[in-house]
Amino acid sequence: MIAKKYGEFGGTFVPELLMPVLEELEKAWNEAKDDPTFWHELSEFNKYYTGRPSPLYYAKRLTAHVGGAKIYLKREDLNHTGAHKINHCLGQAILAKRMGKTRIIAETGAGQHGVASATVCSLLDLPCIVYQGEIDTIRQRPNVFRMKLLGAEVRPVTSGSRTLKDAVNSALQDWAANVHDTYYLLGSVVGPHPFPEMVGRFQSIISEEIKIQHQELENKLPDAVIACVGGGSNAYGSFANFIEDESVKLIGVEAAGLGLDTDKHAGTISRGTVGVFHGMKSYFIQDDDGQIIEPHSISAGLDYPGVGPVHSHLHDIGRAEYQSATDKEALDAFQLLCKIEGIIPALESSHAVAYAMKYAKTRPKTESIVINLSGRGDKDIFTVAEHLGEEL
Amino acid sequence: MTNILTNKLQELKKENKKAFMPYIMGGWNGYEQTLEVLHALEKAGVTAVEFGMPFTDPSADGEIIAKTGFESLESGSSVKGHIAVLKEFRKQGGKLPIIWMGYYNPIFKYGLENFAKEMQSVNVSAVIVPDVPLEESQPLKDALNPLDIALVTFLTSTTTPERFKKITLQSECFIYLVAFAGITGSKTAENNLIANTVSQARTLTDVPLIAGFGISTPQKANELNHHTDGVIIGSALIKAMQHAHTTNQNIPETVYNFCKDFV
Repeated sequence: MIAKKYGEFGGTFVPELLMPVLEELEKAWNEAKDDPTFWHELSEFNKYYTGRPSPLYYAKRLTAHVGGAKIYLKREDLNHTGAHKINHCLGQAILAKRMGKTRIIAETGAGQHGVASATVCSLLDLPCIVYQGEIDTIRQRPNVFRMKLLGAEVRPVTSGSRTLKDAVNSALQDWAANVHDTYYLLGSVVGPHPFPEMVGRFQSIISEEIKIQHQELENKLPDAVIACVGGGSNAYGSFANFIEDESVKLIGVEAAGLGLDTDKHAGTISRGTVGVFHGMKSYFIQDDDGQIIEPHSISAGLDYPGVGPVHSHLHDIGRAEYQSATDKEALDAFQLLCKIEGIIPALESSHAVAYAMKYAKTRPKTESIVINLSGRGDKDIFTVAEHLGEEL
Repeated sequence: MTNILTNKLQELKKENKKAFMPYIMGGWNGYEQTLEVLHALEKAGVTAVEFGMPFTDPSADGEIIAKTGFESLESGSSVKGHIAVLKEFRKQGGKLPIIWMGYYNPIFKYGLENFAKEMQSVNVSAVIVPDVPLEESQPLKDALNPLDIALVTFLTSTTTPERFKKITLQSECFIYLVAFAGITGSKTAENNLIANTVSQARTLTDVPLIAGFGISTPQKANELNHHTDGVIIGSALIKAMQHAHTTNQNIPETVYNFCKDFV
């Protein structure tokens, strides 16, 4: 196996026990990648089940409110299950079936990837076990119930910090113990090769569509594409088809939590250092001794101490820039979008909106920027209500 | 050859004796006690100690070892602290061969060459890094090997024939056999799996084969030793130490008695 590297990043840093199954996965992925029937099957589901292409919507009132560049929203929130996660879940579940796997495991933070995993498993008749940090099962309880309704078993993870990274650890342990029949449906462009490449490829449909849609609407490439970054799946999906187009500014927005200068943030690229964890070499939030530090964000989906290796690489070569938005900025953007566009965005996506507003303000009206609205915010209403001091 | 563990394992093999290498979590219950435990292990006559460096996210470890690791981190252990206690152990005349066992990130963060130099300074014979497979091992090997420190490779029940050959041919000091599919301390080792793996490996290498994962009693160790050149015990010893701790018994003494039964 020759692990794909993104510059110095990526790799396959896993126990020997998992190497054979990664080799098997890589082989199956390489075959599927070149098989038109695989892509045909996926595109049928994308079209008739997910509802792709998702609209590229001109946010007129938001644009007027900000008073700068034109703002477009890529409406991944309108996908079936309410987020971009369904894109890589369908792709991977179809692959799992091709490989003859009979059991699916997944990890989830906010629950969006868990819901999407449970959904595709129901669709393709595969048993599904979702690992979720105990803390996240509490702050995202509507999604826990959704997963159960969809027939998945949710296993709360009580080890470590009881959040996303611990859910990944538990899923890896389950996989190690059940490699023969189990497919690990990973939820971002993270982990060992071939996951970052595979998930990235499935998500790249976002930028494929943006490119076509923006061309139709504006007859040009967008001037900037902005997306939130936790592990980085929606951001990479939004960037992928623009990487070669150097005129398009690519901006990832990390969660600054209570502020990047506090110890409560999830600014992996902004404040992290290079390390090796969860199967990959990348940037991580860690202490001087190489111990991983529990990140903080109001949004469970950005609450991850690492980032996909492709983002570390895009950052290091200067092709993409990584900014951040605080909990408060995200909450403000969340409410604003509700009020002036009639869209309830996910708290994750609200980070992208928050930074994009700042950015758009500094750009001329002739420019056009695309925010990837990666998910809808119905799942977040409890968290938001709590922060606004309202009881539901 | 100055690697004391490689030499010792070869000697045992010649005499048809079996190696016994217990695992302890460094820094658990404080470094002072770690030092006493190291001496107790040497006194009990174990072949070597697997000296555990804790990590916040020990993805290959079961609950027992993970918990001890978290407790060790909470009591302030660090890579530097680990090296310091080994230095003290050597200073006090400790001759026991030492194997460093820990996840990659703390080593990576320390700097591979700095880490290797530190290992040499406390005469560590081998390093086990569960999350570095053969494919990613070159940089670490390049740092360790010139100082005559071995990087231990793993063979598992899932290892494919092609990988099996590659791993076996590149192995040094000893090969760590994972006795079942899973994590530490969760199941019992499977004798026939080990027997198969061993007979395959014997056709390719003379490097000693040591089984770990899922061995908790001297009887189980004896069964496996029919096939292997020795065993590693982790969770069972840690459990005994935790029990001694909660019942206010002398921990180094517990370690000594536990290990005596295996030697």
